[in-house]
This record gives sequence, C-alpha cells and structure tokens, in this order.
Amino acid sequence: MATNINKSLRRTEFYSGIKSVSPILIGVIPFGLIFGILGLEAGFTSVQTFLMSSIIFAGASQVIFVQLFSGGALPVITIFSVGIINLRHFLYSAAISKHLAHLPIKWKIPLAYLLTDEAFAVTIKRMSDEEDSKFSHYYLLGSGITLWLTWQVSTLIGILLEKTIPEELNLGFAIPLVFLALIAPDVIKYRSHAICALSAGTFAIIFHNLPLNLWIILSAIIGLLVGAIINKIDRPKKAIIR
Amino acid sequence: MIWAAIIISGFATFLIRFSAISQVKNSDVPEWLENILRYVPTSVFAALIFPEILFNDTDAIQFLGNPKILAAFAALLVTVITRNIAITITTGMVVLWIVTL
Repeated sequence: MATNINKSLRRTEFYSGIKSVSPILIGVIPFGLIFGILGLEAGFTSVQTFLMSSIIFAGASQVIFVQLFSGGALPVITIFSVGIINLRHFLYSAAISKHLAHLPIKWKIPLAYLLTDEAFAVTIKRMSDEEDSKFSHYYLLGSGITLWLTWQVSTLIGILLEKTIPEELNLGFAIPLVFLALIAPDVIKYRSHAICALSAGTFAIIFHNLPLNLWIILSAIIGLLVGAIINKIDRPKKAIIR
Repeated sequence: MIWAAIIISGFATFLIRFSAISQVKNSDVPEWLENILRYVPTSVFAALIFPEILFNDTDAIQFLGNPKILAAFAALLVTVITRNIAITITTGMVVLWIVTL
C-alpha cells in the first residue's frame, strides 16, 4: 500500500516538473536552434556542435565557447571564460543542496548534470513550498529531462536548417537578445544590477582589443564587484539583498 | 584540441553544478560570496551584449545609424512589458530586418 502511494507521489512530482517547465521551452527552442546554426557558421562540425549540447549542456557557455574558440582564443582562455559564466551555478547548487542531501550519489550526479538556469528556477520554487515532499527531486528530474531533450532536439534542427538560412538575416543577433531578456527584469528593478550591467558592458567595449580575448573575464569580474559594492551601499537603507 | 576543450568545459560545468550538491550536509554559501556571485548573470550577459550591439561589421564602435541599437531598445521595451523571451527575440529581429533589409 505504502509503496503504491509513494509510486504515485513520485509520478506526480515528475509530471509536475515537466508541466512547470513547458512555458519556458518557448525561450529554449529558438536559443537551441540559433546555437546549432552558430556552431556550424563558426566552423565547427555538425557532430561537434551537436555533442556540445550534451557534453556542456549550458546555452550561454556554448555560445561563448564557439565564439571564442573560432575567434582564435587559446583553449585555456576559452575554458576559463566558460567557467566564469557558469559560476552562477555554484549558487544554484548550494541553494538546492539541502533538498537533495538525503539522496545517494547515483541520484546526485544526474541531477547536478541537469541543473540548468531554467530547471533550477522552477525546482527551487517547488522545493521552497511548504509542502515540500521527500520526492521533490523527481520534480527536478522531470523538468531537467524535458529541458535536456528540448535542447538536444532544437540544436539538431538548427544544425539541419543551417544551410537554408540566408546570412543576411543576421540570426546571430538573437543571442544578445536572449541575454537581454534574461537580465532585464533585475536590471530594471535594482539599481545595483543596472550599474553592474553598465560597468561590465562598458569595460567589455574598452577591453575588446586586449590580447588573449581576456575581455570577457575581466569585464565580468569588474561588473560583479561593482554590483556587490553598490548592493553593500544600498542595503542598509532598503534591506534588499539582491 | 577542440574535443579536449569541449570535454574539459563540460566537466568544469558539471563540477560547478555538482559542488554543493555532493555534500552530505547543508552547505551554506558565506554571505559575502553569495553577494558577489548573484551578480554573475547580469555582469556576464551585459559584457556579452554591449560589444555585440555597438561594434559594426568592421569591428569599429558605431553609435549613429547603427540598426542594432534601435533593435535592442525595441527588444528591451518589449521584454520589460511582456517578460517573454520568444516575443523579445522576434521583436528585436523584426526591427533589425525592417531597418537593414
């Protein structure tokens, strides 16, 4: 009896995870398509482009990877830039860790692999609910697998479509538009995020001709330090920790 | 060389995601570190957006008559109103096409 209830609880969590992430797929699909196209345009093979989506499985990092690598950056700089971009996942990992602490390692490894921005966003909402169940990791599994499959398929379609898309359409411009949509809510709402974005962006321009493609790393570090300092100045007044 | 870089990047990405999850007990990030790391998305993405918009095809900064600035502002306006990535991309691209094609 108890096992039957547990089984249906697991299934409910899994399907709720799938459902919660579905609206977000509208943003993931074009991103994956564009990555597939960009990969080939940057000179990577179809196989390399496709497998990057499962080996790295992080949209922004993959874009930076193909841009830097094809632009002649040293591999070590490329890898380091990918690392900097992904530092945010450390926060996700920490925030979600106490909800996964009871699980064996064979669960933790696949769940960590599936921990993207989108999967984290929906799962942490579920896990911080009052009725957090002991099966809420199935929620992460459901949303994670859905995002994973969508990312692989949309990358593949992008690769297949690449030949048919005229270069005049400037499809690569969609990438900064995706990033813009991602940061706009915080930038509009918080002074610290607005100043952080302006400083990182300005220094990215200033540093653009630095050797070794160091501009991403340096301007990103300046931006996040500026953001943290402004936050420190603002916080006593507003008590907002963002 | 490409494959090695892809695999190392993938492994690094996984390790960052696995870092705190791998712990058996709760891992709390110190507040000062959390305060810095929460600016990573805004900072990194802004650093990627600005050059992409402001540099033209010849790698020179162009403010006047740069269609990408207009398209980016249209997209920003739409994303603030709708909060929808698909509509944001569509708006930005359509404005760019109207101005350039």
